Amino acid sequence: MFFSISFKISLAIFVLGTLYRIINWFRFKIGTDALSFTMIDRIKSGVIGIFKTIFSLKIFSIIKVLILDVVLQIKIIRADKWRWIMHMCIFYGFMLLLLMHAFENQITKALFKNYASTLNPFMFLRNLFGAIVIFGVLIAVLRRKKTPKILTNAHDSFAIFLLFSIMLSGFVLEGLKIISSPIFDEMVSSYISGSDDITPLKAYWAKKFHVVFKEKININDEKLLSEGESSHIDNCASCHSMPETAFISYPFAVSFKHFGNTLNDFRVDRWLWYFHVLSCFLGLAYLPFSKFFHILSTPINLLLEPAEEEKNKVTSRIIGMDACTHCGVCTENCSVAQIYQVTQNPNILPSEKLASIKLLSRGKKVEREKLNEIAEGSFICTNCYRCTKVCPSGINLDDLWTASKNTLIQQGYFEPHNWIAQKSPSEWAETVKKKKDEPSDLIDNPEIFYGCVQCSTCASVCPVVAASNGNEIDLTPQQVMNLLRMGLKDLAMASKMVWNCTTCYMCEENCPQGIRVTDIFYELRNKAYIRFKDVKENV
Amino acid sequence: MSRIELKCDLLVIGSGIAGMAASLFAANRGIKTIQIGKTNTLSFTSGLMDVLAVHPIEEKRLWKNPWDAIDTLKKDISGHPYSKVSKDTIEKAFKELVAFLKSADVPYANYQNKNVNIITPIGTLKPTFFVPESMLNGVSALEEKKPCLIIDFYNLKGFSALQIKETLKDKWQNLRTAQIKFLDSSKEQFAEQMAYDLEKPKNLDKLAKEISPHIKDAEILGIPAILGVKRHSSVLSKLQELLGVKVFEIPTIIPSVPGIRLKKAFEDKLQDIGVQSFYSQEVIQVFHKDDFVFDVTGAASMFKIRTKGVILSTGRFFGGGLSADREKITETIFNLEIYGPFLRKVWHELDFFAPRGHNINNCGIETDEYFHPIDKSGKVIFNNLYAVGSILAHNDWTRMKCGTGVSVATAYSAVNAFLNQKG
Amino acid sequence: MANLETQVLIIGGGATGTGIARDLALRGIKCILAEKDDINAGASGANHGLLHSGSRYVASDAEAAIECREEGEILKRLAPHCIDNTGGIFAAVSGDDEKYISDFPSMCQKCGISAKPIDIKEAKELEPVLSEKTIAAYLTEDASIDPFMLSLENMAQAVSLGSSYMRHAKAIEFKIENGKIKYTKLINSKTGEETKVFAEQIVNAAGAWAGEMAELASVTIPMVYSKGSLVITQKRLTKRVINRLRKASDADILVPGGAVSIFGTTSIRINTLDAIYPTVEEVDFMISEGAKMVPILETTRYIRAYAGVRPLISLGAKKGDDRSVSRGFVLLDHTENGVDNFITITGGKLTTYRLMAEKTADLVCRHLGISATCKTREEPLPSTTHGKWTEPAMTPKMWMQKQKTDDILLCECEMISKSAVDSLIESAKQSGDPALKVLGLRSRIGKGPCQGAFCSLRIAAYMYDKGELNLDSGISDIKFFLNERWRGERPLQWGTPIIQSEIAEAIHCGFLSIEL
Repeated sequence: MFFSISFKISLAIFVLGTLYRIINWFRFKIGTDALSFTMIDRIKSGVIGIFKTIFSLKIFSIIKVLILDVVLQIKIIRADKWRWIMHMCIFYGFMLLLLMHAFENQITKALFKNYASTLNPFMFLRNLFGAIVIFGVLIAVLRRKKTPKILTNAHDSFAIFLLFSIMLSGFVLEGLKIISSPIFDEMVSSYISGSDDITPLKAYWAKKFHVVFKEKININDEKLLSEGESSHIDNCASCHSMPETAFISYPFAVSFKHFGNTLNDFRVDRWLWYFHVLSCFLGLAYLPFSKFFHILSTPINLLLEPAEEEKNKVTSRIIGMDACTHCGVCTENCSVAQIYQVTQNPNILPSEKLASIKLLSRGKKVEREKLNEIAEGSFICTNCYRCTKVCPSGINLDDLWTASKNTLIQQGYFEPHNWIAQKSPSEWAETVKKKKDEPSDLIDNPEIFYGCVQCSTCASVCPVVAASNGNEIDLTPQQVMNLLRMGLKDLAMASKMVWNCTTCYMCEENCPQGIRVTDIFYELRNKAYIRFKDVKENV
Repeated sequence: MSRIELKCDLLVIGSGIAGMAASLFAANRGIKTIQIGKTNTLSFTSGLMDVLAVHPIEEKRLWKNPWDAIDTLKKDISGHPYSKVSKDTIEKAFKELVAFLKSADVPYANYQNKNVNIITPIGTLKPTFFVPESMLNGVSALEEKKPCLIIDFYNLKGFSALQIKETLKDKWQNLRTAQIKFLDSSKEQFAEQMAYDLEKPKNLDKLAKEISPHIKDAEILGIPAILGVKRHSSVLSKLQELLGVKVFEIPTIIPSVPGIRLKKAFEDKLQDIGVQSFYSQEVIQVFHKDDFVFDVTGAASMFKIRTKGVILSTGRFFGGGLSADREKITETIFNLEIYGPFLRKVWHELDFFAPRGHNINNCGIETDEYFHPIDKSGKVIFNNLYAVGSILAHNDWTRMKCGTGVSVATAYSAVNAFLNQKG
Repeated sequence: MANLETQVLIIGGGATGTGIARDLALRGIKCILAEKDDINAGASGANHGLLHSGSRYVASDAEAAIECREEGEILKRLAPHCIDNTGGIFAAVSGDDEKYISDFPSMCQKCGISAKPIDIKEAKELEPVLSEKTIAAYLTEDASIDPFMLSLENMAQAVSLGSSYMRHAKAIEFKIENGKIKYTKLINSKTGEETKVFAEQIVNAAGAWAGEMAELASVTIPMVYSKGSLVITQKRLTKRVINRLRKASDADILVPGGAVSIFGTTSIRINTLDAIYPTVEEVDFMISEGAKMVPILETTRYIRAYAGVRPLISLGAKKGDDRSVSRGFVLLDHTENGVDNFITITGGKLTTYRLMAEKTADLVCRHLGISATCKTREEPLPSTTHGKWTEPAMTPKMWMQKQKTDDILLCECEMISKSAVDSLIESAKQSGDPALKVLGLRSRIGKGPCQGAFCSLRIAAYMYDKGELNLDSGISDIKFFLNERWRGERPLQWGTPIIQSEIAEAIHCGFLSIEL
């Protein structure tokens, strides 16, 4: 009764939640191109798109991707083998448990006629699969602890906690069941006729199966034991393997023996069973709202992504965000992630920015302060494409960043080069003349430019200088360096050269004196943003 | 951290003309060669190749025939790198180099086996020996005082045709000048960028149209050295065809296009003949035990190189081969013995242009006849290390006009010495 | 030979000479200023650019200290564009004379000079480069002043009021008749052209060369020459002027000047004025001595060194003579040597140049029988286009403001564009043909890290294009300019500068063969 009601409730939540999420795929929007489509259009186009993909030649390449990236997670093994092991342990361990244990009545029994949960190999395998999941969970915890770049949010912690409690409660529950005399009694009353003397069986089970009985039982009486053994073989052995093979639960059972009577008296096993089952149902209900939802969204996105239809691109962006597992690989590889150390704005990190953009996509009002942070993070991004390349869920992050930048611009948050270009370098310098400034080791340190011998190679090799007409370029790289040498940083910060730089590093590589021209430009941009942003409202 | 270790027979350190020549000679002799150095060294050369033009420098004695000059020099300065090589070696070295450059479509030539005078952007005459073929026309035109038009470009700094005309007034009366606006003339012009622009036929046509009306009676046109980089020969011949007169290039102030042509030629072709080159790299540590092992670092990499021999061609102060503090001069990689630890007060003359030159320019590494660096007692320091090029002592190349010759000839000798030693 | 007539001929275009020209012009007296080289070519252009608060002289010369204080206040009021009112710190390090340190505040007080004690921690906060061994520190009113801008602006105002300036005009003869100089013969050192100047009064303001000039009129001035060398750092090391708190000595003043700092000096007795250049020994001595007060001097990059000559006059027996207005400077009326219309003014300090000019002009007026009063105490010094180019970091600011892409930079280090060079050429042409050195003196050309290696070529080419140079005069001009720069680079050849000069030599000798 309890079981089926709670199961139905959680299943209902799961189904509704999943539907809700799926509808949101078509409802939410990010990017200015998303504004012109209705939800119905997008659903239609999405369904058609998926079918088109399935019934096209593309499906083969998608199957290949599904096998390599989804089933085998090749992308992850290349990047970090521990992370791959973690993912494999959790996913496959959990799946096997689900199939063999949670659905034992539906699946396992159907396959194996004489299945019993306490019989080997099932008992052993259950422990093994559980151990594998726990091993994966431990790697996950350690990885998050050891890599400071990866931020952990409430969802991450909760997911890990939930997995861990399902597994642990399962093991402890099994341990408690082993020593439980009430369960023994129940079994005896179900399977053995009431007239039999069960003392020998008790002795045998107390000795071999570690059941803890209230009354004193002599477990050293050889005769009693051999009687018990034959009774066991007659009545129990067909369903019970020796408990040692439950190699995780068994040690629990042994250690519980000392206070076994108390545990048995209070039927702690039952309470824990409730806990275990509820945890599982909670997991089920929570699944559509958790990062585990990627199990669904990733493959669907793979089916939708190849569709060239504009509407589907918009939808794919939203599904893509749902496919994010917050694993942090993008952030580990982000080429501007180090700026987070300076500004402490988490929206610089792609993994965190994505969560913020989810907020943005819902179309609800976002606080100005928060928007400012998202804009800062977004416009620091150089669209270097690295995150997209490494994302194990195959999310087209690059497209997402472009779209979200457009949304921000549409809401009045201009890219720095836009609003910085509204004033000339001289005007900016005048505006921030009196503003205090935290000196940087790079751009405020004239020793960085001591080596410059004024050969003008940097200007000569610069593709921006070469490709720009007279109006598009105001300074050469060398001139920027000279401004800095003379302490005229504010003039350099807003210069077109600095903001049009493509960071191709030609200047830096060709500098005979090894001056870090490009790094300096990059720092100038970031510093300019910080230095000018407070006064930009006046622009 | 364990690093990748690369192995080779010969490591050439330096990417100036000496380092490039050494890599070339080594590869031509089937030696497994790795070269490391800065990215852009050759763009700081004028692209002219001196052998020897002035000796003794105190007397500013100019030589028409560099080979005669070398004979005299050998007698006068026993420490000069030329005194350790035969004239035959110098000639063979240049022959091999010039053949290579020709194969890379950067043809060089000399004029009647004599030193020639090349017009500089300020109108002075620079005596030199091998020159890019595109400059030879100018040499004969100057000798024959042909009617000539020299052009410059609006907003190309440091090059004034008028200045050349005025400065050369008593040597070449038949000069006229014109200033041309180049494509987008509203911004500053850079020779290197102009050279790439002119590789597009459309731009070259446009330029020819601009120049044409100024040609008039001129039989030859002098133009800043901007006629293409990799496709220089075809740009030059196309322009001559379009204008109907001979054209010669006048080298510009660094970074110079003829230098960049050399750089590109070496960068492309050395790889083809098997040299592994790593530019933008610097040596951070050296270990020596029979073989040398180097820790090398660059913008994005760190690795080790294990080599049987080393050619040191790191140049002087600008090249990074030498460095100076207030007390002394140091060789930067092996901390080799430096000739001339004079006191700083005598490093330089009071007159920057003093005829005898600055003492410091004679500082450098002294070697045995195989270009093994030696210590004060004359003992070879490592028998598998060779020093070549401008880092060598007793070699005031800017005054003597012998830079390329010394670099190429010493590189040639050192590579052969390494080969013989290897057996 | 041209003949010129004027009321007053001033010989010497330093701070004093140009100051006198302005002072006289403001009194309505026209003059010709003849300078054998160019503005501030002598000691006026080879000093710290320090506007003394007077604190430095409180122990040795209270009178001079008070003069400095008063004149400093006047200049800060009337010529603020030439001054960076930085304030100063006097700092002593362990080992310095403790008695001097403890007497310092009371000595300052006696002269009415402000000196506010601050604790070491605060001093280190204000100027982090001060030594860890600092034991005492006082805040003072010292400031930095641009001597080139000052002299150029003084001269510009005099010219605007009808006086004139002749550069490269060396006085070679005084024609004396009836105890008066009838005319002065000048020779143009560039062209060899001679000019006779008939003037009612001749003022000898030739600084260290005052003795040589007086000799032309057969007047002997007993002069002693003291050479002082200074070094310029590539970056500005302090916000304020730093003085070592001890009896005035060598290598104990560090003055900020725009984007750089200037450190000095030495004092070396020399007998002739032929070879005034900084030496390696002087530089090394200054650096190791200065590092005691400001340790970073040991490692920082230097751009150049330079030297000037302080003219010292031993007036011997005639102590207390009223001709010696103060021990700071000397004003000599040569009437008593038998030359009625000849005055010599020499010695003194940059800070008191205005006072020296005032006293000299007073004497000139007495001789001329004119009763005009001095106006330079009240009248502000106007800012003109002639002086503005000398200010560090000024040209890039102006250039960036205009943002004209066609106006490309000819000097990259100091960012001086074609239009700025045009303006400089115009200004230079007021007193002769433009040449690189003449432009350099009026601006920051050649004063950056390349020290002329690149900009000399670019500007010369541009001047040819403009028709300002002809024949092969550009070659000698470039050589002359580079050699002048080289004197200041030579003692600093290590680290990056030696790389820089190697490139310069490779370009100018290796490639251009300019030495042949």
